[in-house]
Amino acid sequence: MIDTKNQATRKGLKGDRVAVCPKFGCSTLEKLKPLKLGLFGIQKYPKCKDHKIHLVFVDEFIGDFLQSVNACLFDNSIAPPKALLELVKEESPKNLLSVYHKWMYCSSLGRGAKIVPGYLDSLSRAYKNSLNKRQKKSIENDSYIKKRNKLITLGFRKIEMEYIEFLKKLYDMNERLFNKEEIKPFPRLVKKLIQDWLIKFLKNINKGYLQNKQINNSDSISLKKTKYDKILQARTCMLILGRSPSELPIKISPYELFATYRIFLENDLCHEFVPEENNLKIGSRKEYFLQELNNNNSKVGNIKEINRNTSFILKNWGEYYGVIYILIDNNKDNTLKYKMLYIGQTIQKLKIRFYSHINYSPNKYLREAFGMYGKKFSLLKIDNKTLQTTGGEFTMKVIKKCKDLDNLNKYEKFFIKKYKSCVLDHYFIGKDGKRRPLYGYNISRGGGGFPAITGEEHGSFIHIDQDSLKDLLKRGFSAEEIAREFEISIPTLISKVEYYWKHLGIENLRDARAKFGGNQAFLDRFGIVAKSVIGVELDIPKLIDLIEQGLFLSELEEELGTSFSTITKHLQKIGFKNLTDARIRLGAMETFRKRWIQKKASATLRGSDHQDYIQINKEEIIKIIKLDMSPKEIADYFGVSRPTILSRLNEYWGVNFYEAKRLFKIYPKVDKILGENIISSISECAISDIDIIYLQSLIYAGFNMTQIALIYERGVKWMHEFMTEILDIDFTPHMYFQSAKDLFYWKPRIINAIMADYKISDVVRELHVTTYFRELGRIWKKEYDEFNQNNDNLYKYLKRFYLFYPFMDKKLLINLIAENKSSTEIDEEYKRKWGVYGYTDSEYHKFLRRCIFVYNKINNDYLNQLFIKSTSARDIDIAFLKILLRNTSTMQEIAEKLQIGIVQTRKFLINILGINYKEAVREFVWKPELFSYIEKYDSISDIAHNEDYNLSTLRHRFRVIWADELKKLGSLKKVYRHLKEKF
Amino acid sequence: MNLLISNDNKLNYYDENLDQTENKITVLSRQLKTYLNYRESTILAICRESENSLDILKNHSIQKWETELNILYLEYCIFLEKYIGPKENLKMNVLMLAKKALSFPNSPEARSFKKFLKNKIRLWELLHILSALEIHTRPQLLKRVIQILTKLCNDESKLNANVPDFFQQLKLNYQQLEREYDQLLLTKGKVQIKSKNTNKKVMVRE
Repeated sequence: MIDTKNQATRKGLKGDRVAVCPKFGCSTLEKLKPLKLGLFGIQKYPKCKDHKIHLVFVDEFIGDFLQSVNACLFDNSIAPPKALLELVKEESPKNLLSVYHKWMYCSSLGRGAKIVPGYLDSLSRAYKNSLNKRQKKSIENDSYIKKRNKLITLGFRKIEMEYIEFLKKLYDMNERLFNKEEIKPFPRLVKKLIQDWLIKFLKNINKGYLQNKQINNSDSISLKKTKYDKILQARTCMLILGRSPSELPIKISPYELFATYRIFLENDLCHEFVPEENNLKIGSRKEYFLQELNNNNSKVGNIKEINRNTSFILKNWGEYYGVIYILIDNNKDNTLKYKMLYIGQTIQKLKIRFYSHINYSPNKYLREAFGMYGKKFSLLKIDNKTLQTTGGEFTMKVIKKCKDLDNLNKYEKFFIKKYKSCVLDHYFIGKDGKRRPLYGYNISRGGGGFPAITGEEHGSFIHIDQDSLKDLLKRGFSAEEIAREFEISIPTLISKVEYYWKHLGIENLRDARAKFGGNQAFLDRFGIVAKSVIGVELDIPKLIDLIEQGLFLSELEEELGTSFSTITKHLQKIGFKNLTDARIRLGAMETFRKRWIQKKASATLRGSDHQDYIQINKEEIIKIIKLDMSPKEIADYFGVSRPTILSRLNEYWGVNFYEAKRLFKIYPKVDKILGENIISSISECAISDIDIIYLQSLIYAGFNMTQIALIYERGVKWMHEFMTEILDIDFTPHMYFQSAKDLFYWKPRIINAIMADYKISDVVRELHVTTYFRELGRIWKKEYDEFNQNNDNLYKYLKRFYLFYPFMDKKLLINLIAENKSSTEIDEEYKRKWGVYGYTDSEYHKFLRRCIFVYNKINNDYLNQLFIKSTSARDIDIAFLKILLRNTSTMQEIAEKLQIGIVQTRKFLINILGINYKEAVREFVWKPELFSYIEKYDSISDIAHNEDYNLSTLRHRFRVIWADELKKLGSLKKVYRHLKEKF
Repeated sequence: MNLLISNDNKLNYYDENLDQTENKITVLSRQLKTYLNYRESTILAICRESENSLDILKNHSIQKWETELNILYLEYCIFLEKYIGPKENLKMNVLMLAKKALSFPNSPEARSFKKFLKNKIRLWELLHILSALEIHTRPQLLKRVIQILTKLCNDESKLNANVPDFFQQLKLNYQQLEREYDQLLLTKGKVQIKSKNTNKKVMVRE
């Protein structure tokens, strides 16, 4: 309740004014008139009869009410609960900001903004009802304002201002409370996390105080506010989970909510939320991340102590295969615009990896970054996951542990993309015209790790007998067999082969076999196996030879002239799991890896990384294209060759010169002509798709071929060829444009007209087509032939197809179209569904119209239920006729509802129900009603007395309905008793 | 007769709790209610996970209103373009037309004008109805509806003689809602036109 001091008084009132009970939810509203002569009259301070409290003026009251609403919606407690934030921070820190901002985004609605207009609406209606005609008029039109009504008009203006202020407040807070860019969809994990938290939270709320679903009056005000805040937080939480707050089991009435907040406000418990302060706690993604690091720093405390602890070498990654780390260039020397990031993967200890970056990084940008300081770095352990150079220049932190190589590669790619650290995607052009990293130093997009043997099994630690190895190679054993024999890994074996016989020019097992004469034996072993299993479809020795040479899959496919599946199948037949397994077991992995790295390195040197790459400004090239210059002229303008220009166009936008011209010159022009902005609505799609969109738009707008050719600045012949290529339409050559016009000009218009329930004559008139309406036959040729080339029948079918059938059962229609059913079959299917075999075409059409335009308006839900139950057409008619009979008092009304004449209605009733109107009323209106009374009362006079019926009317109805029973039994009393017993 | 005002006189709202009439007094709360309904729909559209079978059923009931809305809005725009002309003089032109319609009630212009007023009422009515339905299951429609509302509020701020300031503020709020919706739906995953040629891509936004 608002305990306002502005209680309404008639004293000193100079005109009529409306007052209301300040208790929220009370409907008492009175129009107060001034006292006679300013003195005489009763109820100088009018009170609410129900609540015995003084009334307040409605315009002041709305102001107070909205003040309470604002106090509730934008209170300091709208921020997400700390426990939830802590939980998200722990489990999924990268989503913390998103959770925070999404929460703030949902807060005002979650805290009950939606219930405000409901209350104001009822208040407005009551306010309106309390006014007389003149007063209403004075509000509607300023010219009618009379002195006596002036206060009412002014009061209303005040109310309008309050509404505007409320909207403004909503607008301002939405601008300030959250950052739209930070709101991202949650991963399932986070959603689950929030759901679980909410369930626990709700349990706590229930346990804590709401056993009776009411707030205890004995609670202190601040305790009460905490409880209210919790409920509102739960409601907000529902919204961020995509559910309506009304689904929550805990309810507070809107009146109670805002009245209580009024009390909190008066007790100085409500303070408006200040976004800036709270935002500082979170900041941007990068800030948050860096802040996290700093927090960890501060936890370390005594750095000297840590320096003494030299045994900080990290342990292996335990059950994990490896980790993804982030290396941050902290920009200590302030030479960079941003702090730069590098994402990497490692299966080694973090410290070793860090030193390898510092001392011999293959990444030139990292080398430059470390080299900038011109000093030797030593490392400091921050925690088990974080290392830092002692000067704080670089920090390395583990961000993800992975259980296998696949995940390691996957997450490396993911994080590189997330942190925008790849120089291939995020770069700027330096003063020297070369590409420079923008956010990070990664030179590839990640995911290129290989399986490797680590730790104690490293090649340099193991000694194997040279002669035994040579012997095994001579006998044609595979790498896997030899490695198993020596109990070493395959890379170790290869490194040993290289180590022992490098001076003989041997680099791998294949060379060794060739040198020592084991090659034939090896090929025979595997070749014999292959032949015996799958014949000679594929040259197995050649396949193995090629795998040993470290060829890529595409090269293998090309060399052998076969597919990946065939290769895999053959490999499986000779005992390998797959191609990678074959590479590992044949000892070809190292060769393959080397070739792969070479390929990767050469790939990164393409395009803008190439030393001879010529940069051309994108904006400038667009401007020049707009000037209608040829490629040669453009090349001369930039001082480069024509191919360079063409290759830049391809590189920047994936288009050739003519496509670029359409994109940057023609299509903006088309946008201007059509008054639309199609180009900006297309974010990423192929040029051919853009061509289609524009061509369709131009044809739809009514341009002919010559005009379109003029727009494209080309001849009609070229245009014809272009359209043929772009618009993939089945057509006869000389009718091409007409076919296109039929599809993109006439068809959408006709369908729109059908959807708007136009008659065929209206369509002919509106679209200015001839009465023959040939377009119909051309566009829907198949259907046209099926309907014996009759336009009227075809149009009726199209109406069924586009308007009636989708409304009645869209799913069925989709299935029938998918099955490629003909129009007759579709009609048959629907007729079968509604059981309308006895109906003529005209009756069937009338039934469909009735459903959409009559029954649907009467009770849409009921009609849908009948459709779902596949009720027959007759039963649908009967069901709705009963409703009509019950809800109308004359046949005229029924005819109006059915949108037909009286005679037709009469016929319709007899046709459907088999009886005339009077009989139908007796059967379906009077009889059920009287039965319900017979069940309740003992005599006819009782019914008349209790149900406010005229006794003679009632008797008449009994006589008419149960005339046969009356004849048999003799009196109405006996009939009544008989009917009662029947029950 | 003030045609600009009397256009709100014969309304039959979907919401049975509402009056048969909407005038200056009730229009404020009615519009506020619609705005907050759409705001909640926007949140639900952004936060909900995916369309389920229940949503498809609900869509079915929205579809019938959508078709009517499209036709009415088209007619509304066509009328404004055809009879009213440039938007700078919107109010003046409408007043002129209203006067003409009063003087020659059977002229084609008068008939069109009456139809326009009728359409406008029905358009608002449909927008109120849609706000009460689960429109968040149809994100594209929701966006279109918000755009329509922005335009209508803009026109009302010029045409409505009673509460122009209110409609002006409401327009700003809808514009804000549209911006939020665009931004947030973009992050949720924008629907892209499927390309036939996946190799050739044109990056228009650079």
